[in-house]
Amino acid sequence: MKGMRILAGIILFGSLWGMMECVLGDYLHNQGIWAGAIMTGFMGFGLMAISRRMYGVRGMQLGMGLIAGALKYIHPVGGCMLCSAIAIAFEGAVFEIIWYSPKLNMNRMNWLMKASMGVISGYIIYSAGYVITHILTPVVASAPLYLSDLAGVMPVIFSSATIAGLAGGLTLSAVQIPSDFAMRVTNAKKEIYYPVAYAVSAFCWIGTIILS
Amino acid sequence: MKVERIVPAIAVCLLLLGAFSTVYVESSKEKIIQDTIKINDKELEISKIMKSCRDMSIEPEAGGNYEGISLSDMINFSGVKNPAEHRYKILGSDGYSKTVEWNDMNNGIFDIEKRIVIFTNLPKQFWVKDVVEIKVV
Repeated sequence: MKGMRILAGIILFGSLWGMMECVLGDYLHNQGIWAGAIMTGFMGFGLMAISRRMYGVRGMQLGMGLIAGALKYIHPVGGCMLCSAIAIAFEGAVFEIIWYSPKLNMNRMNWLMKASMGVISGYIIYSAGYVITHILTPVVASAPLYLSDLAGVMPVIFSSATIAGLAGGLTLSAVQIPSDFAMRVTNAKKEIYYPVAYAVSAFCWIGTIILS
Repeated sequence: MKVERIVPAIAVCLLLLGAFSTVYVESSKEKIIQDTIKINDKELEISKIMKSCRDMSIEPEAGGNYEGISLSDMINFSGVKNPAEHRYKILGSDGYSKTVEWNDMNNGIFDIEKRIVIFTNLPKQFWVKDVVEIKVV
């Protein structure tokens, strides 16, 4: 697959993820619901899984995380922009590590493997993102960093990651993309593919900023 | 061992870890006593703190406008000697904690109604909710 098509896909899926984090994530956060775990397990992991199934390209999800993190960071209102942006940016990288092995092919898994890999992915992506942002946010913001604080919060992280794990299991079990549909989308005529991908991406960025 | 056996086993282990952690967090949760807050190992009455400490209005870098009691005044009220020489560990009821410097305490407030600490100069990660104790370290 051509690099420009993949790049357009990264921008499209990353923008969708970022917009959902800003709109739905902030709404859940304000409602006092486990926003981070739900958004990671359903939305972030879901979009990364869909893009991996459709394109089958490794490295794409790393870029998606960076795009989504950037949109979250420039989002002018809401929760902790810096903390969330750092966590989201690294969630893509953690996905890449978990799904690095070519043996783990989503298209060839039975339901038990899908549910199990979904649980593992949701749980680890959320926990790792949480830990990384706890370390990097103080570093980036020139704030005090004490690892003893992190040790104390680990049970809280492991506890809330259960929601992300269960959400990941449900999401991967539910993601059903017929291969012919994926082929049609990823190999669509360039006169359709690029304008649609960039228009949706632009809508996500402009819409998020205006709605804020 | 086959991947098809290992992967579900890891998933179950992670869910068990999550379940045990939830039990641990819930069982070790400190009960919030609305009328008091523990500072420097002393149980202080909120009403007395309100009389003795300044009300402050702040506009944090993270956005918004908040009102509350000056954190540095609360520390002084609790009788900490040489406050600038210490660090302050702020603990939430669920075990979440953040350690900050005296300079940060000078730029922070305690919202009594929501029992949350807010700092002008620190990211929202430092805004500990359901505060039960401020330890001097």
